[in-house]
Amino acid sequence: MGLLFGRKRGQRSSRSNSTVGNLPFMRFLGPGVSAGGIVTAVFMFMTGRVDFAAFDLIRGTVASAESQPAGPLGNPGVQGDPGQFANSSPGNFAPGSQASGSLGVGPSVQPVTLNQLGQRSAATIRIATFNIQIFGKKKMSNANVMSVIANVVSQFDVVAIQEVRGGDAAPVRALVDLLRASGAQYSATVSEPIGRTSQTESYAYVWDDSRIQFVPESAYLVQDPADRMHREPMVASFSTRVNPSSGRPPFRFTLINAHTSPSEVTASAIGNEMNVLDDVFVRVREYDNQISGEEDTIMLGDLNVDTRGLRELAQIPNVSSIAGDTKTNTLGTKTYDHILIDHTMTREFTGRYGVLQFQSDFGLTAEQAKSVSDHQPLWAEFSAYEMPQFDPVAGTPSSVR
Amino acid sequence: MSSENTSKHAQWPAMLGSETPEQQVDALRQISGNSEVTGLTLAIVPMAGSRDDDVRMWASEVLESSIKPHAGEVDDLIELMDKNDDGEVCYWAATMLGRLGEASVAAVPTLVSCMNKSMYLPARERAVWALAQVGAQAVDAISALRKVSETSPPRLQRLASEAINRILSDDEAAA
Repeated sequence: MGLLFGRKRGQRSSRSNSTVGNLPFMRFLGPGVSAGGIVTAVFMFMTGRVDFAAFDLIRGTVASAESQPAGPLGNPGVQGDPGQFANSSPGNFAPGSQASGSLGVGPSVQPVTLNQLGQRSAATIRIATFNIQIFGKKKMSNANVMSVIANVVSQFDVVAIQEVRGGDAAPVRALVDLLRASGAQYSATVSEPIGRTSQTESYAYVWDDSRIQFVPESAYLVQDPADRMHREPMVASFSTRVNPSSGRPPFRFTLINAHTSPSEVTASAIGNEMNVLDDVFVRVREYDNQISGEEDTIMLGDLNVDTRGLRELAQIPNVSSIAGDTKTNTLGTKTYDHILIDHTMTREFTGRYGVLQFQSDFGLTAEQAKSVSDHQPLWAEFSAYEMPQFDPVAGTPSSVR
Repeated sequence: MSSENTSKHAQWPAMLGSETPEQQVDALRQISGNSEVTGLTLAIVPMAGSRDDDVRMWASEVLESSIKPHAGEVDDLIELMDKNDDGEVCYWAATMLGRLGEASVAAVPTLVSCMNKSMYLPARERAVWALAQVGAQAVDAISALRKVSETSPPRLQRLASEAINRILSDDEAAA
C-alpha cells in the first residue's frame, strides 16, 4: 500500500464533466513526476519505506500543549523585503507573472480598506488555516463577503484555505486581485478539484509575497493509490523573506493542507482518515528532509475532530495540535480545525496561537459572519528565522485569545 | 437558543419544500454551520440530486456536516434508495443509514442492492461503509460482501474486506 507524491487520481463523478487537465492554472507535476520524485518513490518502494504498516507501528508520547495567556496580536512591525514574486508555476497567481492563468489587477476591482488588527513583526510570521465554506462564485460575487475574507487573509503571512469550489479557482483569483488592488502583495496557488462525489473542492495557499517566498515546484497533492483519503492533502513549501544583513537563515517550512470527511473520521469509521494522515505527515517530512534537509512540517486544516479524534495522527512522537480543543467554528461551539507540529523539530513556533474571531473583530452580525464561513481562521506564530536544530529554548504554547 | 433562531428553525421545512431553488439554498445556508440538526434528513437527501447546482452543492455541505438522522427515518431512507437511481442521492442516503449504525438493520438488503447494482462507484463504496456501520446485524450481507471483496475496484474491495471483518468481529463480540 503506497503513498506517493504527485498527481491525484481523476475525479470520479456521476454527473460532472472532467475538467482535470483543461485547467491551465493547475500544477501538480512537482515531486511526483520529477525524475527525483520518481527515483525517490522507487527507492522507497524497494526499501519498504512506503509500507503503511510500518507507520502504524509508530507510537509515542504526545507533547502537551498547555495554554497560557500571552500578549496582544502583533509586535512592532518592520517592512519585509519586497523581493521578486516566487510564483512561476501555472498554478500560481500574481500580476506580472508570465505563467498561464496569472492575473493582473483588473480595472473593475474595487479596493477595500484592509484593517490590520495588529502590527506585523519582522521577527515572526503567522500561518493560518481557514475553511471558507463553499468558496465559490456566489461568495466571490458578494463584495461585502469578499471584503471580510480579504481582511481576514491580510492578517496572516500564509493562509491554507479549504473548500474552494467551482473547479476554475476563480474565487481565489478574485481574492488575490482584491488584496492587490487594496495594497497588499499576495499570491496564491490552487489545487485541482478533488473528492469522491461530484461535489469536489480545491485547496489553496495564499501568501504575502513581501514576507514569504513560495518554494518553486513544491506544491502537489499527496498521491493516494490505495484511495484511503476522501480528499488527498495538498503540500507546499515556503520560506520567509528576511533581511540578508541579519546573517540568520530564513525559516523554511512545508505545509500539509488537509480537509477530512466527517463520516470518515468518526470513531467507528472503517479506514479512519486520521489513521492515514499520520502516514502522510511522516512521509512528507521524510521526503522534505531528503530533498531539502528540512524537517519543519506543519499539518493544518479542517480535520472535523477534536483532539480525541486525532487518533494515530496524535501518536506520532512529539506531534500535537497547537491549539488543542480550541473552538474554531463560527458559533464557537466546536473544534474542527487544527495546526499540528512536531514540537522538537519546529522550534520556530513561538507559543502564540489563536482564533481570529472575525465576527467581533470586524464588527459583523452573526448572520453576516455566517455568510463568510462556518469556520473561523486558526493561526499560529513562528519565528521568521530558522532556529538551531538543538536549541534548548522551545516555545511553550500559549493562547492569545 | 434565541427566539429569533427558533423561529428560523421553524421555517426551514417550508423553505426546503419550496419550489424555488433560491429559497432552498437560503434554508440550506441557514442550516449549515449548525451541528446535529435533526428531522430534516428526508427533506435534504433528495436535494443532493437537484437539477440546480447551488442546491446540490449546499445540500451536500449540510448533509456532510450538519445533519443527524434519527432511527425513525430509516424506512423512508430505504424507500428513497429503492426508488431512486441518482448516484448522489443514494450516496447520501447510505451515508445517513451508516450514521445510524445498527438502527439501520432493516436497510441491509437495500444497501446490498446498492453495493451490487449502482452505476455510481461512490454510492457503492458508501453502501459498503454503511453495512460495516450496521455491524453484527448485517451478517446476512457477508456473502455479497465476499463477492465484492474479490472482484471489484480496489477501494471497494478493501472496504468490503474491512466491512466483513467489522461485521464478524462485532458478531463474535455479541456472542
